[in-house]
Amino acid sequence: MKKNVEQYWQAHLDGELSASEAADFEASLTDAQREQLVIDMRVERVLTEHLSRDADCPDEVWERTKARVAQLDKAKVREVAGRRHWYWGTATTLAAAAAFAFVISLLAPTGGSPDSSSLIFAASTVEELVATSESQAGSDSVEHYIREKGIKLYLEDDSFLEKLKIGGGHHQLRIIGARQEMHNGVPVTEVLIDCCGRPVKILLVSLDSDVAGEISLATTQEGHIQATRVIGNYLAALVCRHESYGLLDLLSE
Amino acid sequence: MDEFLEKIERHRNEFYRFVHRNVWDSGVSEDVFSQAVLAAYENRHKYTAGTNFRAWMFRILMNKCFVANRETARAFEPLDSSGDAHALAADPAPSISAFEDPVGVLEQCGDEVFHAFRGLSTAQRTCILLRGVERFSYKEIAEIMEIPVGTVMTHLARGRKKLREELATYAKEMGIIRAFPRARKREESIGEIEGRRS
Repeated sequence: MKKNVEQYWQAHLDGELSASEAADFEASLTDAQREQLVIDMRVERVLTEHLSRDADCPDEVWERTKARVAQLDKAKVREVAGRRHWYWGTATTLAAAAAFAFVISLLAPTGGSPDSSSLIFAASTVEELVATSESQAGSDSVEHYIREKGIKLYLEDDSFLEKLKIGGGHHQLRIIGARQEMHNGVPVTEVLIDCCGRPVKILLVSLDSDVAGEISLATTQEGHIQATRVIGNYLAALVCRHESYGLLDLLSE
Repeated sequence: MDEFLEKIERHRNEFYRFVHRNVWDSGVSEDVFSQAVLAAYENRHKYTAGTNFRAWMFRILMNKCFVANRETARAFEPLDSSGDAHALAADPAPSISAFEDPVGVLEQCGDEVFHAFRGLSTAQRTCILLRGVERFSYKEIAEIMEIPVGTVMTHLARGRKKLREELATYAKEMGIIRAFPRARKREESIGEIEGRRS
């Protein structure tokens, strides 16, 4: 029964009672209780005001978000155009393309030019990632590598890695390497991480490139992109199956 | 600008505020907000014109917050609300509303209000924000969160109680108040009402 009274008290605070219910409820209160109800209402109002303060969307955040939507649109247009081109191709063209692709596949080494799946899907194992690294392991080596590749970002040092490990509840966190691959003519740099024995990569791509739009598109569709963040002039995307949201904090301008 | 994006822009402050107050780490507010907008834009064909656009958006924003807070697994577990009122009535913990001037005390708490709010679960914060700040009804919140109305009320009751207790404890520790002069009054009030009703 007390539960009902508590619920009535709360529903009254929230304006959820009908006029007659509210009148009945108030009639059942003493002066002191009515006073308490008024205090509760004031507290709720002040708490709500506090929670509403200083949390408007900054203009620059909105502009960046709109830019990402525009990239998403561009990526969609390219995707649709590609599909349409495919649909309207003649049977001869298809046959020729298939034959050409077959020949190329025979000639090309395995692990050649990456398609989008190599970007947005996580590797199966840490070893698989390590095997593709073009850099030594460790924060310093990887930062040196990415800056050599023209990425003007900094990688936090090992002490920060330790904090992330504790803060994120990870039992293991290591930067195991980095690599860069071309995707549709755009360089995509990957920072490779071992988080709790799971393979994680952070994709870094120029914000104004078409690939940034493709990554944004992939974020809303399939793949293992867990989070994205705009850092300086780059879009950083966290690709993993393991929950590692905080790892984007590793990079800064 | 795209009509759909214009619609989001009209409410962008409330959407961003919801995310900013709801994620554990306010440093990821922009990430979560942007991802929610991208997801909404990509799925705009699923929005039915004429229905509650804000509610539709808040569902997406809420889901992104749960993911960012890594609470997806336990977010929608059923709650046992049967003991709540008894717990509230029996627990002598001080509440901020028990003081002579609760509004003045809250003002002096300053940013501690945000800190204490972050101490609540994502579901509790979501309910408090949707109810208090965004003015959704219990029924609308239940639809957004896809949980029963009773569970919404339980999240609200538990969240508010914990928030008030945290702030009361902080106020006492900081010397904003010296004691808990009327700490049990509200609980006693509820007991008295019940006594008269039965």
